[in-house]
Amino acid sequence: MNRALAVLGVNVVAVSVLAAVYGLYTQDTAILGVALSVSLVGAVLLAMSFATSEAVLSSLVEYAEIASRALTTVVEDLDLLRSRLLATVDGGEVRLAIARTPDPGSLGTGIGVRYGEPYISFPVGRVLEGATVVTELDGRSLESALGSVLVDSLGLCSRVVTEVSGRFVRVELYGISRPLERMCGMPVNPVNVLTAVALARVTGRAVALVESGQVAGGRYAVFEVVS
Amino acid sequence: MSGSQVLRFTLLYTGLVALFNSTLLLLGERRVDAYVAVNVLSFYVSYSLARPPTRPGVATVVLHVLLLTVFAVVVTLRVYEVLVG
Repeated sequence: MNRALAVLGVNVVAVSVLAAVYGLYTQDTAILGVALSVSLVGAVLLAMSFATSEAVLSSLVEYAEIASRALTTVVEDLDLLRSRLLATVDGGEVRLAIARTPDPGSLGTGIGVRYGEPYISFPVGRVLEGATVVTELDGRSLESALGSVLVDSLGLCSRVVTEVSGRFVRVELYGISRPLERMCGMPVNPVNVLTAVALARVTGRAVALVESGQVAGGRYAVFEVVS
Repeated sequence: MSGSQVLRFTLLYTGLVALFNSTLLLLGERRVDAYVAVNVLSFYVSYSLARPPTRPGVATVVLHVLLLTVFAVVVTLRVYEVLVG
């Protein structure tokens, strides 16, 4: 839904209703005609707000689905389905890894084997660089910082709730963007990856996805702060 | 970019409606249905010139059914008026 267009449509309809009332009151059919015409404009804008789709967004969603499927195939092939998704921040750059090792810093780039365990590790550059970094791991400041990234900047979801328990951070995401929610069933999906990257950014530490699943109206993910 | 496609359609449609409404008003047109019919025509002219990317759904169908029904009613009444009067 295009919210700006919807707001514009509702406002145009409201103004046209006022003009129509004035036209009826003054018995001026020309004003009534203009008012009905303008109300039709409002109705069209309102309908278009539900009907139009961002073609670029659709392309990106399709691309994300293709990338997720490709990565999932590699993960399955390397027998990494029961591994952890790790996100680390090193010198402003974020690195993602899918591995069983608890130490993501020791992994090289690419697909490899370390201590007999396969892994996938790749740098993702300076994504989400402007995120607010929290110095202490407390629920409220973490929630505010994560909300700023995931809700305000990325539009991933409409609400974030966090709960910190020792080294573990539980992140609950409500009102997840529908195209992204569709991909949540895949082992490697944009919601988990973006949440992991955002958490690594705001905490400035390495995080590992321990568990993820569904809650009423959204999804949850439990991360372990590794370092 | 589709955002600009939607913007282009909106600008063209509202621009045409503003132009035709002003013209009809300046010509002293008092028939309400004239304004509505020209509006529907403006929509389809804008739609064919700057078609915004739409996803198939209820909103699109409702919009077209509404506009075509309004236009059909207006034209039918006008034709009926001519035939009777």
